[in-house]
Amino acid sequence: MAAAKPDILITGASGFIGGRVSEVLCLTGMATVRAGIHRWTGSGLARLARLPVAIVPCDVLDPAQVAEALAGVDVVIHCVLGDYHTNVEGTRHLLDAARRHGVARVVFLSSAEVYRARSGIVDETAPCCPASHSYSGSKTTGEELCWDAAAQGLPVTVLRPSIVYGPFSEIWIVRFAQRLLSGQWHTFHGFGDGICNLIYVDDLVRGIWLAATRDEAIGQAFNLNGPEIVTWNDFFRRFNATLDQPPLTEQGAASALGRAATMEVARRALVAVKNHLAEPIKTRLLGGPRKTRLGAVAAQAQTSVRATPSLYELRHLFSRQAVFDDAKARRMLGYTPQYDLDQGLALCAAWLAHHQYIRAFGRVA
Amino acid sequence: MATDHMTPSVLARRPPSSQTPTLALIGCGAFAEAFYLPAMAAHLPDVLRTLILVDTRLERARYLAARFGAGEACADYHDVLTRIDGAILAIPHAFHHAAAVTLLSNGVHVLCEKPLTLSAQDAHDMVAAADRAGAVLAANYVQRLFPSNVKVREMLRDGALGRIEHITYDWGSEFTWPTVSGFYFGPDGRRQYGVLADRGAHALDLICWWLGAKPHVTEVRTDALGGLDAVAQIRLQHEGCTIDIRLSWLSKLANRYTVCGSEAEIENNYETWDVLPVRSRSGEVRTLRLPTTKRAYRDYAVDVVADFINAFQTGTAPLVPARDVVASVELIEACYAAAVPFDMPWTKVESVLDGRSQA
Repeated sequence: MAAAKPDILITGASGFIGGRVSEVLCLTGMATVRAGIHRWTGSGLARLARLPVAIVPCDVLDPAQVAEALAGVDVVIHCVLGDYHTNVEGTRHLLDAARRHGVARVVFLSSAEVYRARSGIVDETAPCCPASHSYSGSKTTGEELCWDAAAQGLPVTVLRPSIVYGPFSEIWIVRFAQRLLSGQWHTFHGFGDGICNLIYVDDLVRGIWLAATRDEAIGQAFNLNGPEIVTWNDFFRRFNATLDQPPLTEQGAASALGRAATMEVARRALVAVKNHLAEPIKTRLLGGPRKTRLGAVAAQAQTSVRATPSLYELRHLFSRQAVFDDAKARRMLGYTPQYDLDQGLALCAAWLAHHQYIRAFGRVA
Repeated sequence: MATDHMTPSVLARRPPSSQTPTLALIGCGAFAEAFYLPAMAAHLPDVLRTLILVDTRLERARYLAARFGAGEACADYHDVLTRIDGAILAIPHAFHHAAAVTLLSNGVHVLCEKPLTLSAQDAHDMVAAADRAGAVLAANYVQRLFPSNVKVREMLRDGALGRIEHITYDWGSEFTWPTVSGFYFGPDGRRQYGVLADRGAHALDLICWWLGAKPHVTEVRTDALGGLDAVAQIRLQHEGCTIDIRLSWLSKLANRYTVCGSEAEIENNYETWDVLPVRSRSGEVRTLRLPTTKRAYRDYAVDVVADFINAFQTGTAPLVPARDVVASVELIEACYAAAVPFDMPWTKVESVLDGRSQA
């Protein structure tokens, strides 16, 4: 890459991964960062604004806004995560604009989910799932758009990280901390021995930087994973210990499935209420900051649902035996993940305490 | 002081013979849309009919004028200076001072959104400009109108809790304010005022108002990394009383305040304004009921506007004169001056790229 200190546009900069990429590139001074956001609100935006970084409107569904955000940049790191339409059409707009503006490198954040692998050692030669309206299908389509753009001369690199965790991760840290702190979470006999494939966010940022700066990365796809192979039950135990909680008990397979099936009904009912009832009716039935009796029951149900694995998690996610092999990134880019699980989780626990999630959940002083 | 009965009484205090004033609402962002305009539409239709909406984005002003039935729209308040009696300033904080001084110097009464200003010198300038012009300069610090907060002030003034030893105030939730212009976060990277200036304006003003004094700053930590602060922890001291405040735009906090005295203590949710639980030293809890019709924050808007109009039409002091909040502006300035970073190991970047570390 030509520029010693490249001008980099990060799309989805108010998200979990985009936020940390922005933070690292800005605070190391290794790049001049344009942090692309799609709206002027949200805690991710507040997080981003703690940096002396240029924040630019970049709704990837608005081609004019994308073109303006991207004008003059050397590198685009595409971290947007949205629904199918956003993932696919947004990527299309971004690649079109990057090609027109002669951007020197585009790094597309895909996902190891494109393999939909159930078992085995999975490297980049494994087939990707068909394009579809699922999350993984949208990433496959995004990759196909990248390869089309590459065929027209755009230098593109595709990254397929596994499960990315770290501070500000709602899915893998906040939600699992809530579950562990609820006192209702377990290890799961017969279901929790699948491989977790966790990568700490800073290791991913290192991988992104290598992909953005190494010529060997052009036109390639790379898996990125963490340094350890751990099972989901390992993850639960070690995160639980990091949060200083009493040891987890193991739940039998039949019991886990039965509870999950029961909670699935409650989960669907809560989703239906959330998605289909008008706000004024919801407020009247459930209350606002001060809940009605029905609202209190719904909140209790919500807590129980959150503290119970879904059938999908038990049968698929926690049971999956696939290992996403990042040997290619290690060999070609010199990628070496630095954070083992205990180091990563210790940072997450410190972050949770800082934001008073731990006290707010009521299980830890 | 303010009570729930204020709305009818304030409205009633407007002299029946007084003319409907011509007001300008300067700044047509999310706050104007969600707070002032619905209240005027519901309770002050005569004021709304002559209201001039002002915004540099003229289309936005026109849109809101048409939607709520305001009198007219324009892009520059200088164009209407001679036609207005009063102005409500709902523009970005950094512009309050210049706009207020111009308006006041032209004899226009001003109701200014919080924070009044971002610097104590600017706040003093504004108050002086109002004094010179003989104009009203009111501030919208709406939490002073909550019956629960009024009651806390009364109890502290009357010594009902004994000697005050400790006050805590936690206010945190994800930043979801639907800012239209993004002014909080400015696109140019030169931002420095965050949650401490925003939510802290209410919290620190309440502390000063409750105590009737300005505490001094003991310790302030923020999470700013060269930009603005999204989380702030403040410790203040006033005589024998320690005050701990935690503010966040990033996560939900306990969202409660406590006022602990030698004889009794109060613990309440910061948005629960109709009850006040008081626990005595013996552990007995007495819940004071503070009847109110207010259900939401925006329900207070009509009180704020009606009181402002009443103040300049009758020559009485507004509920929250700007002069009264200058102490909290000074305190916020002192907090920023004293701020040091939290210990946040997860933000370290030195080894991530094997590159240069933060200077």
